[in-house]
Amino acid sequence: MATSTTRSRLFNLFDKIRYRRFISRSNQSSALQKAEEQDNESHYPPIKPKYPPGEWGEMDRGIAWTWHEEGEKWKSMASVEERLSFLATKDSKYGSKVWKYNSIQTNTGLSDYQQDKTKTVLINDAPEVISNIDIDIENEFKDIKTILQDKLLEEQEYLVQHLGKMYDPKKPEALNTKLIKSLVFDLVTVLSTKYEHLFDLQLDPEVEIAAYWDRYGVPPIKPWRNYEKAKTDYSIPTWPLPKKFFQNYSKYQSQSKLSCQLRTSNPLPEFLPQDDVKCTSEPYPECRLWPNVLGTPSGWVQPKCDPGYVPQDPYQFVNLSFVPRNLSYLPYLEKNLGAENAAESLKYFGMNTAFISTVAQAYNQGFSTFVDITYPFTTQTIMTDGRLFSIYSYQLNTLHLWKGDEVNPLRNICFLQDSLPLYDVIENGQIKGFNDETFKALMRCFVLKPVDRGCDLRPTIPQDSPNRMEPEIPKYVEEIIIEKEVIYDES
Amino acid sequence: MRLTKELFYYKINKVKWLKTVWKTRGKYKNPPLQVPEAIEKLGVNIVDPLEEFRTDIKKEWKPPADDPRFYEEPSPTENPLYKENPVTCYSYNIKFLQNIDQVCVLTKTQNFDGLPQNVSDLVNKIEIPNKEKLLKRYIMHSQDWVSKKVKLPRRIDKENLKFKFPREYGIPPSQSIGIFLTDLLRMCQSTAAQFPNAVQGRRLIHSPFINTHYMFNDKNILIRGSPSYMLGSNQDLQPFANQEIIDKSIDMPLPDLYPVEPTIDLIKEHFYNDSTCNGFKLPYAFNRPHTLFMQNSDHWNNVDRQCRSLMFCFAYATARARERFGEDVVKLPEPVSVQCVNMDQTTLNFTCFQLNTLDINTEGGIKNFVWFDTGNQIFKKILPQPWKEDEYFHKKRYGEFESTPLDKMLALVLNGLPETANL
Repeated sequence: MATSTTRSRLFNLFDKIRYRRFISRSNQSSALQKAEEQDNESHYPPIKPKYPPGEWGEMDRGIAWTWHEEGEKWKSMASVEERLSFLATKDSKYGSKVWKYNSIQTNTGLSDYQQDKTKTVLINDAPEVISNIDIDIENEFKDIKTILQDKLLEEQEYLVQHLGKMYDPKKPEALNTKLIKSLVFDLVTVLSTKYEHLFDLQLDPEVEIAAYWDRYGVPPIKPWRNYEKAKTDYSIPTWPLPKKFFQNYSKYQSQSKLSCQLRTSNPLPEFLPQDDVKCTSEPYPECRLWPNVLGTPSGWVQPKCDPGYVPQDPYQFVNLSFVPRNLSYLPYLEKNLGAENAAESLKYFGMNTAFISTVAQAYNQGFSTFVDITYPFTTQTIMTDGRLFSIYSYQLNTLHLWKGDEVNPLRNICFLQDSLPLYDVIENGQIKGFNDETFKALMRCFVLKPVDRGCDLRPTIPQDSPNRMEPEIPKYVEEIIIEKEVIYDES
Repeated sequence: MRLTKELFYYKINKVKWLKTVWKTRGKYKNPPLQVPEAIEKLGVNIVDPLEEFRTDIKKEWKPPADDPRFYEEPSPTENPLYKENPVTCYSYNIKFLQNIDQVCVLTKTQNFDGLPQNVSDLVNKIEIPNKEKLLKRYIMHSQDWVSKKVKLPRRIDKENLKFKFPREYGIPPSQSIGIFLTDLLRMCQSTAAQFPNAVQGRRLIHSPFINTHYMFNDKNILIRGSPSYMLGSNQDLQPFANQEIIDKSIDMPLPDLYPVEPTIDLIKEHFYNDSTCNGFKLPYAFNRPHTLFMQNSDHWNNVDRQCRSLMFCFAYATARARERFGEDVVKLPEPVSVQCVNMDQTTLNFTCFQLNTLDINTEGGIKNFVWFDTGNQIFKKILPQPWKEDEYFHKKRYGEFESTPLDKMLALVLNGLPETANL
């Protein structure tokens, strides 16, 4: 008790010293003012509430206000490019110290960790929106089935595969991406005659994606060696650290590679409404261990969000993305961890890529960790080697992942149909044991139509130019001739 | 008592002093290896660590055999394709000195300008909804709308050779051409609603491989390579010219190249396969070559690119003729025809080839036919010229948009369909 009273007295004294200047000024000004000019109305700014609008829980008041101010700053920037460049050099010109989250994990038993870091609830089923679609194999999809079978045979049996090099260590991956590209190209061209949304789309081969996010659970990495500031400016104290380094959230950066990406101008329908029980209170495994222990390295990285396309593109929403299953990295994983663990890390690789894709899409629409999304982002990811198909339907419900579950109960949801075999074996130029159910599941992914959500898709960017939908390339080029006055030397 | 620094160091702080003495003069001698009798009796293979970890002798480190990082390619003589007698070989990156004349002599071909009659009749007959709007989007997709920017080679402008351009980051030409070509192909294939056979009777084959050879001036010439796409069909393409014109070609003279030898640019190669391969291991229903699609990401002229497409058309046609009429066929009972579209970032070039004879080793007789339609520009890309005062020149611009090349490409792709015969 005694210590607390002395502390409070001390603090009172400090406050008096701190605000002495203002106290004296206010006294002076009141003495100078005339009685006629005085108004009864108060001219003081409104009293700042304890917490900014929104739910903050037990978060430190000052930290909550900094989050809010950064959100306001984010909204004040006009274009997405400006916002992304701000994000890259927010902490320093070298970026900030983040956890480099691997999209394919190299250690065992990390399923909980990966679900926790992406705040994902994994459901081993297809969403109702997709499973309700009827596929009539005998009439409508009969031609497509034969074309798919032809394509599989062509790539795996008939063609002489010539990659140029005599020995290529990335051969399995390259062959798998080639198979996926040719499969998708044929399926899209055939289906586009019946489904309009497959005609008006953009197809991108071999895309690299990246995403950045903040996540609750582990305190941030302390920049003990904050040299680049302290070197130049000695007034910057390196100790004591500011309050934000003792909070319960940290930064994550991750990247992945796609072999093919299909994009449309409208988003897919939401798989579950955000009020659903699964979105708000479904339990997911928690893992609050220090990420370095689990094999996640840290480093100075410029935070980057790249969905594989630019913000000017009219096709802004990823409908389908494809990931190769025959990764060149996989044999080493199998050798070191065993077949079961390698299969598990491959399973979560698909989930991670779907998460990265949706986060990066949200950033391209003007949202960020500071400004939460106003509508759920949905995408479909298919991981295949031609025979086994894993279909992920991912719904990103929130980007405020740095808040605890009590404050922000929203979870992201991943529907997974794992390792569906399309056929048993290919022998003597024939497919044996073709599985119609897998074919139906695959076709449902293509057929699912994007919808108009009925809301502003870029609410934080008021000056979004509609010209990007129709680029102008003139038929004639203007010729500008610059005339210069010729001054003759009179002498 | 106050001690000097040296006294403190040597007399009082003895531990530190001893440590420095050990550092400078101390030596540790390893005791010799003593193997216990019991272990000797067991017969265990004992390794002397003093011998094993000696630092004065460097041992050669051998990488593990199954690790692909340390893979070393076998010597050329161990390769199964290696042969002692070299063959004159044409591959994708060979440029001809006397461009079209030289290729016409090499393949015994008569050259015509423009598209053949049955193809040019199809131009502007087929309509695609929102064609211009989509085409403009595809252009921007290939040129600007890719997020991954790569360091590009330093640019040179012919107007101002002294100007040093700053380093540019953007989409490499090979990638942008690939994107544009796939978009155009998707647009052409989307006509399947009007022409069902365009999908049911055709397959687009990604990076097929061709390997053929023929005799020219008593020399065996090998052609091999892989274009980016081949449109395979289940029916052979109809010939472009009828029998009358073929018979007249006896009188058509080939260009004179003297003093240049036609095979001057071809390289000599020890690795080759003698047999003809049309790209398929097993018989496939859609293995008949209809149209080849090639990407040009180099700085060649359009004429040089046409030479390349003629050589590949010739290779595919010979492979198909040998498959149809036998390996040793010289006089063809029926002509074989192949089409080709080659493109760079802005322009399309079309080639229609008809193989009438494989009797190329002898002079005289009937000739093969080729139709060239060169330099169909879809748009013009005007790069920035920062040394000029007006800011108008500081930005990248696009202009001179034209959609007729796409119509020509569509005519080539849909040529030979039973539905288009009545158009």
